[in-house]
This record gives sequence, structure tokens and C-alpha cells, in this order.
Amino acid sequence: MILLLEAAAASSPDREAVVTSQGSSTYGELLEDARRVATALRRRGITSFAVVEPDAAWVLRLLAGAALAGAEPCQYQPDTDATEFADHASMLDHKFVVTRRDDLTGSFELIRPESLVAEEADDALRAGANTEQPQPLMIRTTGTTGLPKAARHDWRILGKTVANVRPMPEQRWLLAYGPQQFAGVQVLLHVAASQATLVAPFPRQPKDGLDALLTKGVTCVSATPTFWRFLLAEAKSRKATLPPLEQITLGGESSPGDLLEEIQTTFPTAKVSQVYASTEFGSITSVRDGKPGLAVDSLWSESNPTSNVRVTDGELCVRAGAGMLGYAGESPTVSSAAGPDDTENGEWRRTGDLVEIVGDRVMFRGRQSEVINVGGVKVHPLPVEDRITSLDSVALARVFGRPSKLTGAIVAAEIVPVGGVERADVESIRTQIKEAVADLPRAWQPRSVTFVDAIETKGGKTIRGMED
Amino acid sequence: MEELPRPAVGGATGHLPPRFQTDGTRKDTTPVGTDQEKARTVIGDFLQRIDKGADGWNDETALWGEGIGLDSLEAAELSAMLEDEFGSDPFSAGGDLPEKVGDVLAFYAIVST
Repeated sequence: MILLLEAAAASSPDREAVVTSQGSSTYGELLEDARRVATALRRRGITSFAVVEPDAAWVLRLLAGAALAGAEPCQYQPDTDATEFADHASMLDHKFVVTRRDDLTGSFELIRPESLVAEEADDALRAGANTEQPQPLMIRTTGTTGLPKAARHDWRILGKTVANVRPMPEQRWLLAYGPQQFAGVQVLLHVAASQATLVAPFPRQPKDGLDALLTKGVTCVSATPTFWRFLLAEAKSRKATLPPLEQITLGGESSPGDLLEEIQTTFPTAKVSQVYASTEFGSITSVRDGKPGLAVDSLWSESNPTSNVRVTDGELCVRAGAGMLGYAGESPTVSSAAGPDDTENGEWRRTGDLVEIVGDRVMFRGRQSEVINVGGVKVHPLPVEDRITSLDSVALARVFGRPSKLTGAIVAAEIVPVGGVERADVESIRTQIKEAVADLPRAWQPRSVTFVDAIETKGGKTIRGMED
Repeated sequence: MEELPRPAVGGATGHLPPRFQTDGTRKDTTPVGTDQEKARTVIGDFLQRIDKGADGWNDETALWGEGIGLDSLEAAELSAMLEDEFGSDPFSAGGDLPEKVGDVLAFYAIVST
């Protein structure tokens, strides 16, 4: 991060680097601030700290400053629950927490971000970052399928993923992910590498993203499919005319075919790519053909030996590209926690993503942890959800497992109708859903369908799996 | 006043509310409340959704076999619908499963009048 910032500031110090609700900063200003943060960190002897901060400009100053000082930051969602934060801070042994919140308590010192900026940067730090020195970063997983874990990364390794990115200063990227997420970090890196402008509203809900698209000149967006569904639904309900986009990147979840079509229809001039990445494995591969899933040709084979992706027993296995060094609290060699070895070859890791080869595509069927056991039949919620969300009357849907005393679980669906629940003909939608899933095995068909105004997400992702 | 149905045969009492004797007869004469009527509506909606019971059904109609002929998935669906409406249901309450439509209605007999 600091190396990219130094390069951008050297090339175009006055270019707008980040726009937030609190103002904007140029690359030159960000670099100077990062150097002053690094100076303060060194003077105070801080080698690791937590960050609970909503403003992306502050996040950039702190992350880049930490990289320059060799300190390890660990970000949290800005509105993280105080009790939950205290537990995680204790578990990860945070001694310092940089935040403007006053309600966070625990065995740590609270530091306001402004007070972590020295009056002047040390001259030694102006010479540039030392590439021999570790530039650690801790990234917590979203925990959509369990308790979040903390993965240890190094900026120098993460930076390799953007080594081939060339300057595109006219681009304005929306920060739809939290910068505490791996995908958010990827966006920060890409924007800095392309010397573009980051447009970072807060909150980062789809409606805020839509506002940014309509008013902030955004040209590129990286977001989850769930975020896109919400944003497009919001745009429809507002009858908003969306501006053309240059680049759309989807990640974090599999992208259903109907959503890809809707995006391509709505933004006909945009390049659309799907990224397969994770906090643990880093960025693995991307798809740019506009079709759901991966091309079978892209899998590892003797004729494609450089591929980092293969399928074993219906599960996607990967070789980490810019992967983590290990989980916090574990030695780097125990990074098998990222997924057990593929038994045939230790360098391959199981991802927990279940896939099926259909023709020339590798189609995602959901997470291993999302499988619903209905009377002994394993049901993958994603294909069911895809059929429901492809209905014109459905704006959003979530398919998950609901406990049942009779069958262990049943497949349940929450539906957000187009136009809202109040105006929807729910019985008609029920019939449409029944018809849409009629050819699926009976255990796969939703037995509980409820109509809601909003669907809860975590980290911008739809929560599937078993309900408590 | 509506005649209350008998609960599941075979001494099944696990899901019966305390207002009932072990033989399924009511202990008192409190008027049947609205929950039973709501439960009847839920059952009607459910049967319509699964395209069963078109020939008519009543409190004595068996849920299984020659009656409505529910299978486990359909019973689980009815269980979920009743739970959504009332917060609990006779299929999940423990004890023997209800055998007749009336057994389901009897579960909701403790209601305000």
C-alpha cells in the first residue's frame, strides 16, 4: 500500500485520491499523512493496533502509515458491537485501538486517529518504504459461516496482484466493500495502483452506493452479487437512470446468470469480471466472459499447469496466489486451517465451495457449510435461490435451512417482491416459485416461503445455511 | 358450541394442552377460541397449496395414509406454517404426532375466548 501510494504521489501529487463524506484528499496529502502516522507509531512504539473507523481516508492514512512503520493494523467494521469487539480484541491481544468511538472498553488504550498523526514526519521515513521490512496486515474473515478468524497478510505479497495494473487516473472506483474485508483491501490496492480516485461513502449500503453512482461520477464498481441485486432493486424503485459504467467486478459470492444478464443489460458498455478470491487464499482467478461459473478450460490440467484452480470430489481446490501467512495465533505452517489439503497434493487447498461441471462450465453450488440436510437429502441452497431470483416478480431472495422436527430441516425462502410486500400478489408469487422449482427434487423445493421488505446480509453477502 | 375432536389415539398426550383429559375430552366448557379457527384456516391454505384435500376434509379426516396422505415433507411444511402463525405446533411439541385434523386443532384449544 505504501509503495503504491509513494508511486502515485510521485507521479501525480495533486490528483484526488479519495472522496468521502468528510471531504477529499490528494495522493500527495495522503502520503504525507501516512508518513506522519508512521512517525507517531514509531515514536510511541506501537507495533500492532486495531482500527475501528468509518472514514476511508483515515483508513488509508492509518494502513499506509502502518505499512511504512512496519506495524500491523487489524480493521473492524466501524459499527461493530462493543461487547463482541472486546472479545475479539482480547483474543487477538490488541493493546491499542484507533477509533473515534467512546464506547469501546477493554484491556487496551483508545487512540483517536487525529492524535496518531505527528506534527512532522521523520526525515528517515521520507526516503521511502523499506521493501526488506515486513509490512504486516491482519484481515478478519467476514464470518458468514461461523466466528470470524484473523488472517495475517503482508502488503508486499498482496501488492503482487496489482503489479500489472497500469495508471487509469480518470477512473473513479466506488468502495462498496468495507475496507476491513479482503475484497475491500483489493479495491484499495487496485485504486492506488491505477492512481485512480476512490469514492467511499459511509454507510456503504447499496442505497448509498446508488447515490454515489448518481452524484459522484463513479465509473467503476466492485461489489458482491448481493450488493448488486439490492442496488438494482433500489434503482428500479426510485426509477433512477443509471449512468454508464466502465468496469464492474463481482466477487465474494457466485454470480447467478440472471444477475449477470441484468448487469450487462443495464450497463452495456461496462467490462464485467468475476473475481474468485478469499481472505485466506488471496486472489485466485477471474472470469471475464460474462457467463456464470468458471470455464472448464481454466482448470488445472497437464495442458494448463499454471492454473491455480482444480476440482476434487465436487469441491473447488486452489493453490494460493497472494495468500495469507497464517491465522493469528498459529504458526505460518499451520495455514492448513485455510482448508485441509487436497489429499493428492499438499499444495492444493480445499475451499469449501461446492461445484458441478455442467458442459464447459464449473458451476458453483454453494458453500459446504451452507448445505441443508433435508431428511438425509443434501440440498444446495444456491441453485434454488437462482431459480427464484430469476422470476420477474422477485427483487431479492434468500434460501436457507429451517430446522424441522420431522425432517431435520426444510428448505426455506425469504422473498422481497418487486415493489415491496404491501403491493405484491404474494399468492401469485408463491405459485410462480412452485413452478420455478417444480423440476427439482422434492426435498429441494422450499417448504417455507415468507415475504419480507429486506434481507439481512453480512459483509455484503447473503446468509444461507441453517438458521438457528 | 363446536364439538371438540378427540386427540391422537393410542393414549397420545404429549402434545395436548393441559385443558384436556388423557382421553382427549375437555376438562371444562370454555368456548372454543379464535386460535382453532385460525388453525383451521392455516390447514385449509396449506391443503390448497399442496393440491390435496380437494374432496373435502373435516376434523375426523386422517392426516396420513388413506386420509389426506401427507408425507414427511408436507407435514414439515404444515408444521412450519402453524409455527409461523402461532409460535408452536403439534408436530414439533414432542410426544406422538397428531393423527387427524382435529388433533391439530385441539393443540390450539387453549386460547382466549
